[in-house]
Amino acid sequence: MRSAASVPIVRVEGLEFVYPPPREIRALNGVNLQIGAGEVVALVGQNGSGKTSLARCLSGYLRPTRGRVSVAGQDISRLPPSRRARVVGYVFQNPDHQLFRESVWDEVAFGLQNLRRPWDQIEREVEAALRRLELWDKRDLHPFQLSKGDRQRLAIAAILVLSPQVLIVDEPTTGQDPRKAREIMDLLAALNRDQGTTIVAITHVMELVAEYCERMIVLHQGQVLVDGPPRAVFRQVDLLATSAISPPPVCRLALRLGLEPFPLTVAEARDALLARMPR
Amino acid sequence: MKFLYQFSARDSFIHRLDPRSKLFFILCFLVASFLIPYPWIMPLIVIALIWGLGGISPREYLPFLLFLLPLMFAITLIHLLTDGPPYLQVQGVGLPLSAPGLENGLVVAFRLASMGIAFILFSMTTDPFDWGMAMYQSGLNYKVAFMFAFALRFFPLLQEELVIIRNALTARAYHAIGSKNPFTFLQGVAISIMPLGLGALRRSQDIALAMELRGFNYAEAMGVQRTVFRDIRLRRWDWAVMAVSVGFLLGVVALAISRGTFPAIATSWLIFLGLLAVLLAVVAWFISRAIKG
Amino acid sequence: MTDVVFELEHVSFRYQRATAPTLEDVSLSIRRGEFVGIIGPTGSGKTTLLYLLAGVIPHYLHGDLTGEVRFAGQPTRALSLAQLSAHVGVVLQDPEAQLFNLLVRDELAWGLENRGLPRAEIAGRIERTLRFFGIERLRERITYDLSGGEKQRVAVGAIHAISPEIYLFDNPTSQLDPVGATTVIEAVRRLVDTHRLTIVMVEDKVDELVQHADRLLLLDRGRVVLDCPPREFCLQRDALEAAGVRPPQIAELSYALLEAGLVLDSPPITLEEATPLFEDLLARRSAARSGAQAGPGEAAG
Repeated sequence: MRSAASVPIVRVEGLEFVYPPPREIRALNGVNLQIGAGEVVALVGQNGSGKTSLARCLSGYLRPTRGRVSVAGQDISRLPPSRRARVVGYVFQNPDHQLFRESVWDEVAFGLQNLRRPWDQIEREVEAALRRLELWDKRDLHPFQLSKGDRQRLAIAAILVLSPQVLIVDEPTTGQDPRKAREIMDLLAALNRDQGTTIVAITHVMELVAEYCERMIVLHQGQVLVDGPPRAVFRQVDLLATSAISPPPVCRLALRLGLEPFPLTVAEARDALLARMPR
Repeated sequence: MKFLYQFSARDSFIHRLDPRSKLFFILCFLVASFLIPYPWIMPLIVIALIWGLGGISPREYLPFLLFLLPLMFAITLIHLLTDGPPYLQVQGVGLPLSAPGLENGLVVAFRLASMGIAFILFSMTTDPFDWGMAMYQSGLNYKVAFMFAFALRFFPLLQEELVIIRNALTARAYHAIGSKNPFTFLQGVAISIMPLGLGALRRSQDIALAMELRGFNYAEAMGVQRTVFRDIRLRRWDWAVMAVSVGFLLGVVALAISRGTFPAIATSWLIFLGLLAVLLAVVAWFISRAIKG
Repeated sequence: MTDVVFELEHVSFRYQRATAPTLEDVSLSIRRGEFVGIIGPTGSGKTTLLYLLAGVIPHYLHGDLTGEVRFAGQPTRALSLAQLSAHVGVVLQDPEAQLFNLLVRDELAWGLENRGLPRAEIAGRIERTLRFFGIERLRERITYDLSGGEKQRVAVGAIHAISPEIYLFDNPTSQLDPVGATTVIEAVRRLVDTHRLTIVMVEDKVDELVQHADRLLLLDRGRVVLDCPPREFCLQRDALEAAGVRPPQIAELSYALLEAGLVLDSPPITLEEATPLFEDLLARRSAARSGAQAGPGEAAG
C-alpha cells in the first residue's frame, strides 16, 4: 500500500469513445479519473459497461473520440508502439492471441528484440522474468505445449519483461481454478510491492477485488458509477446492484448484521462478529 | 471491416431466393459480361439490383468497392502499357500508351468490378447454411456441404481475432503492424497467422468434440437419413429469376451477333469457362465420393 | 429397469501421450435424478471423469483404460457414442466451440436433423426449448452476435431439444461474466426442477454447487477423495485444503468461528443460512449481557 498523496501516473479527462461504423456504439460517455503511481486498481463492470474500452484507451490502442488519456505525462494514443510498450503493458484475456514464437524463451525475448536491446541485457531480463513466473524449466517448450495456466503466465512474462510502469491485465483469472487465480493475483501484488508497478486489473471476481485491490472503479453504461476503496464501495449494495455487481458474501453478511469495522475478508468478519460477543 | 464476406440477416426479395437460382443468375451475368459492349453499365446494374431488390445500400460494402478501385486502376494501366499501337497522341506528342489498350483495360476492369460486386450480392444475401444445404439437396455430400458453410460462418470471428492479435503485437513493440512498407507489412501478416491458426486449430478440436457429441456421425453410425429442417426449394420466383437470366443472356448474345460484335475471342472464353465448370464439377464429385466412402 | 444410471468400478485412465494416469482407482455410482457436483483443482481429472460418463472415452479419445464404466447396466465400451448421445447430453466449457450454425433456431435444430427426426417434430421441439428457457427472442439471432451467457444458454438449449435424461456439464460458467453465469445457472435450475433428470456438473463456483447439488465429489490428483452431501463436504477442511479447494466464504467464516471457540450446532455454509443464525446469536448475546443469564460457550443454533 502506498500513501494517498502519490503522483498521478494516469490522467483521464473528459474521455468519450464511440466505435466506428457499422457498430457505432457509444462505449464511453465522459470518464474522468486519475490513477496514482503504484496503485492496485480493479476495473469492474458488466459486459458492455465500457471497462474494456476504457482499458484499451488507457493502453493507447483506441484513440479517444473526445477527451484525453495521458500516462506518465504523455498522450498515450499518439505514442509509437515502441515507446508505448515501455509505459503501458497490456495483457489480453486470451493467452492464445499473444503467443508468436516457437519457444517460451523466444516468446519472452520477442518484445526486447523489437526494442533492439543488446543481447546480454535480453538474456538477463528474460531469465529474470521466466524465473519470476516459474517458467524457466519450460523455456524450450513450444508455447502451445503449455497448459492454459502456464500460457497465461507466459503472456504476463512477455509483457513484464518490458518493465512497463503501468500494467493492465484483462480478466487474468477467467477460466482458472480459484487457487491458480490467487497465484496470479499474488504475482501482481508482488510486482506492485517490489517494483512499484501500477496495476489495473479488469476482473469480475469480487472476492479477489476485496483481497488484493486498494481501489475499485465501477463502470456502468460508459461512465464511472462509483470509485473508491472496496471497503467503502462494497457498502453500497443497492448502487452496485444497478450494475449487477454483488459484494463478496462476508460483506453482504456484515451489512445485514451491521458489523463494524466493515470486513473485507473472512478473518476480519470473524473478528467483527466475535467482538460483538464478549465471553 | 468485414468486406470479404458479410451475411446480413434481413428479409428482401433477394434474401428469399434459393441460393441455386442466385448462383445461376450470377453465372449468366458473368458470361453476358463478356459480350456487353459497354461493361461500365454492369457494375451499376448489379449495385442497383442489390439496393432495390436486396435492401442493401452501397455504403454497407463501401470498403469493398474502395478495395476494387486500385485493382481496376492496375488492370487498366497494364493494358495501357502493353497493348499495341495505335498510340495515344497528346498535343502532337506520341506517348507509349496504347489507345485500344485504354479501352480494353477499362473494359476488363469494369468486368472484374461487376464480377466482384455480383459475388457480394450473393454472399451478403445468402445464409451460408442455406447455400450448403441447397448443395446437399442437389447431391453434394453432407459433410462437405456443412464444412463449407461452417467455414464461412467462422470467417467474421477470425477477422475479430486478427484485430486482437494485431493489438497484442503492438503491445510487444512490434513495428510491422500498420506499416506502409509492403515487405514489412507482409512480415506482420505472417507472424499474425501463427496465433490465429493455432488458436483456430485448438478451437476446432473443441468444436469437433461438441459436434460429435451432438450427433454429427449419428446418421452414418445408425443408418438413418438426415433431415434438412430448413425449407429450401426452388419456388416460382426462383424459376422466374432463372428464366429472366437465360433470357438476358440470350438477348445479349443476339444483340452481339446482330451488331457483329460477337468476337471470336468470346467464343474461346465461353469454351474455356465451360471446360472450367465441367472440371470443377468433376473435382467436387470426386471429393464428395471420397468423403462418403 | 435399474435405478443406477452410471457405475464406475475401479476405473483408472491414462491418456495416450501422458506419463501419469489422470484417474486412479475411481469407483462410484450415480442414481437417476441425482444432482452430483464434481469439484477439484485443475488437472485433478474432473473433465476426464465426465468424458468417461459421456463415452467420449474410450470412443473418441484414446488411452489406457482399466476397470469398468457402465451406463444403465451396460458397459460404455459396448455402446457407441451415437447410442449414448441419445441419453447423455454434454455442455462444454467454451460457448464459442458449441455453436456452429448461423442462426439460433438452426442450432437448436441441428442435433435433431442429424437424428433424422421429421420436420414438424423438429419445429415443435425448437419452440418448446425456446419457451422452456425463455429465450424466444433469440430465435432469429446470429449465434456469434450473442453474449456469452446467451450463447451458453443456446448450447444448453441445443441439448434440451434432443431431450436426453442425463446432462453433463463441464465448467459451464467459467468463461462467462457474472451476469451471463447467473442466467446459465438459472437455466440449469429450471432443468433441475424438471422431473427425474440426472445432472453431473463440474464447477469451480462452489457457492453455486452447494445450493443445488445433492452430492459433491472432491477429486484430487485423480482420486475421489470426498463423496458426500454439500454440508458435510464444506466442513471437511483438511481434505479441501489438501486439494487446494476453498469452500464457500461463509463456510470458511464458520470454520474460523469454530476455531475461535464458538459453538455452532449447524455451521452455516450459505449467506441465506448465516444471516438468521447470526442475527439470532447476536440478539441472544446482547439480551444475555443485559439479562446477566448466559455463561461462556453458550450453544447456538
